Amino acid sequence: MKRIGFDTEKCSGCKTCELVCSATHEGVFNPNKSRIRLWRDEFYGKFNQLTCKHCEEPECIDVCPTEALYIEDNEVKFNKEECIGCMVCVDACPYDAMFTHPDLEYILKCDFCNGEMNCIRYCPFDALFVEED
Amino acid sequence: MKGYAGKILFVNLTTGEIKKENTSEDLAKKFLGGVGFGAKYLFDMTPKGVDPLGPENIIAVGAGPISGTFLHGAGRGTIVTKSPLTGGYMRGAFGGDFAAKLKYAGYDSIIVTGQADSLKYVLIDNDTVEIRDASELSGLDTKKVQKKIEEITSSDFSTLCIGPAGENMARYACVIHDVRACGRGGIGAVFGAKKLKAITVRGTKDVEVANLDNMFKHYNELIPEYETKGKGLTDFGTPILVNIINKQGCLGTYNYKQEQFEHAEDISGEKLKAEHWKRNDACFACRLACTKIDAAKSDPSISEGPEYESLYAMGSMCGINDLDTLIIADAKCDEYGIDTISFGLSVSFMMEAQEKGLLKDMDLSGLDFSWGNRETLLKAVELTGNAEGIGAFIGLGTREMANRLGGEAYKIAINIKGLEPAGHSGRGLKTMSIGYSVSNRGGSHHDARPSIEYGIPREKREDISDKPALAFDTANWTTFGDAAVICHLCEKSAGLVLTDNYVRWVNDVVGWNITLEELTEISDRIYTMERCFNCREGIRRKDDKLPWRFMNEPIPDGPLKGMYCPQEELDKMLDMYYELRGWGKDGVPTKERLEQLGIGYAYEQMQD
Repeated sequence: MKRIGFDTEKCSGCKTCELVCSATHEGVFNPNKSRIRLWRDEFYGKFNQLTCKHCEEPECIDVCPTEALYIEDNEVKFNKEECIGCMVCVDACPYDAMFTHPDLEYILKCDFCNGEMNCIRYCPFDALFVEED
Repeated sequence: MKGYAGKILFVNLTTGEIKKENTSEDLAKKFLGGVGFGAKYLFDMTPKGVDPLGPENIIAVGAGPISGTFLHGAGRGTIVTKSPLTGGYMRGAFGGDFAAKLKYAGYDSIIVTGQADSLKYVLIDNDTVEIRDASELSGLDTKKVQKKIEEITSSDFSTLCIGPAGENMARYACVIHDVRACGRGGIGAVFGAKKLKAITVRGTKDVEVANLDNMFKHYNELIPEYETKGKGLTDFGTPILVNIINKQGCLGTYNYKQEQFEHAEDISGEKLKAEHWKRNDACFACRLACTKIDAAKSDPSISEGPEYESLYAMGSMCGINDLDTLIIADAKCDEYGIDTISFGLSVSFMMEAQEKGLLKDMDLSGLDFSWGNRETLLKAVELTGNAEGIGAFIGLGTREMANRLGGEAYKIAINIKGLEPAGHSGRGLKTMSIGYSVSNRGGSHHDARPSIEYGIPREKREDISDKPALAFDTANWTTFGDAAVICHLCEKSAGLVLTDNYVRWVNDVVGWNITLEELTEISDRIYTMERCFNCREGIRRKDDKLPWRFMNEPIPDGPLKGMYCPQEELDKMLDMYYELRGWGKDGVPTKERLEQLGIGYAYEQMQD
């Protein structure tokens, strides 16, 4: 499976990734609508990122009642049209990597921007990259 | 009108009233946002002669149309108020993500009026706005305040706050957000006078822009510039300037008795990086990450990233050549909420005053103000922050200290209109000679900018013919930057003066179709509005001057030896500058120019 990899040593916490993600997917700037989230580890003072891990045995797919989530081309795909906004997958995700926003009736999950991967493209410090196993 | 959140939030601390008004298109078109809105509201809402520390003064916290977008440097916020240090107009800007969150909460500006009867903080959570009791935050330093508010609320709130110095109304107390300061001119004292300990904000709304595709296109075109320009700031932060400016011979040293520091290498950005650096930290939406977190060797739990200006003000100016001392002093200043530039220059004033025998009859709280005394610097931070003993005197700033000492003390008081200047020489850089003297704030390096002149040789620096225009052009860029709001350090990639890059950003975000000429007029209008505030307070040409030393004592050493700015030279530059602005010979904007700018109503209020 492929996923977004992260180098905490390179990340400066500028959140450009969150901004381009929300702009790409929702057409607005709003980190609360991003599919990738940065958070600071208070103990080390460094940043971590949270985004869909594209698990090999995804629990989100198991619980999804509408088949809005499925595996294809080595990644967990999401069909927004099928999503009924029940948020069961959000609770099921062991990494807390699926997000919601009160304005939106669907979940926010990394879909690699249909291959564009803007978070990686616009990261000023190359802290994000594609990881594959 | 895209780009704007659409509301201005009014918080009256006297009555407790909270009001929201729509952001008008006319206001946006004339004043853009940030300090533009602040300048307009300050002029309109306060009476002539308003007491900076009284209930009638206002605090205007601003975001701008660009805030909250992904544009490089769009995380910055601004504050406008009347300064208790200068008695004139004051604006400040600060990094972090507060302004972006203000936009996400749905507000373009917050206008705080009145005075609370006990210590309060303001909580903004989208549409919910509350004035809350802050008694448990009383006396806390800025790190503890932010931590405590996070415990009360949650980690997704961002907080602007004051420390003990603000509560004690030191005249150059600053406001802190995260590890970043809105430093200059005593804005923190105005918070303290209003009994406003903090403002905390969270928001989940969108920032919508007019043309997202164009924004990405124009951003992509600048990426090669972003990736090559200003890398010294990514690698070393602003401290990279210590060695550069010292070698040029214009690093303020020993209270400007010299402009080369023999120990510059000891407090350089290179040494800081090699021996103290822990990590880089970026403001919201920034591609440079110039903030450095550096640890003191003697106590690694104390970490702070002293900027160039702090290394100059508390280092070379005071003759202190020890980075551990400067890291600790910088951390303490942030915790107490003290402007490091004004504080450093107030201590260097004390050191020269002691040397000259001007402090003989004073109780110095046991401190020895000899050049380079590390313990004195550290103890002075505490005393100033707590307004104790000699600290209460140091906290007045150099102009008022010199007034109280009398005699010839004014000759060693390094300030412009009461604001101590940054580390960009008013003698070795003519852009700063004219830029500082006409600055609405005083000794600020973020009105006129020194960057262009650092790149030219001495003989061209001494030619004053182009410097007023350079000060005018760079101040129009920085004024736009503080209205948009965008960090001035993106000047290296997007333009050292206003360029079409900035015009595109505004048009892409807001959906206007303005020209470079029209954008320049917006900046000019804001700057002139600020000037009108000062003129109403009685500020005139006579106040557009430099510290006595800059006008009477040439630089005694180094490559720029002999340079200074005598009155005759300054007068020539003032005439040229006033003409560019459309101000009269007395430095007051003309009625004709104000009417051209659509702010003719200000004219009558400025008359004596």
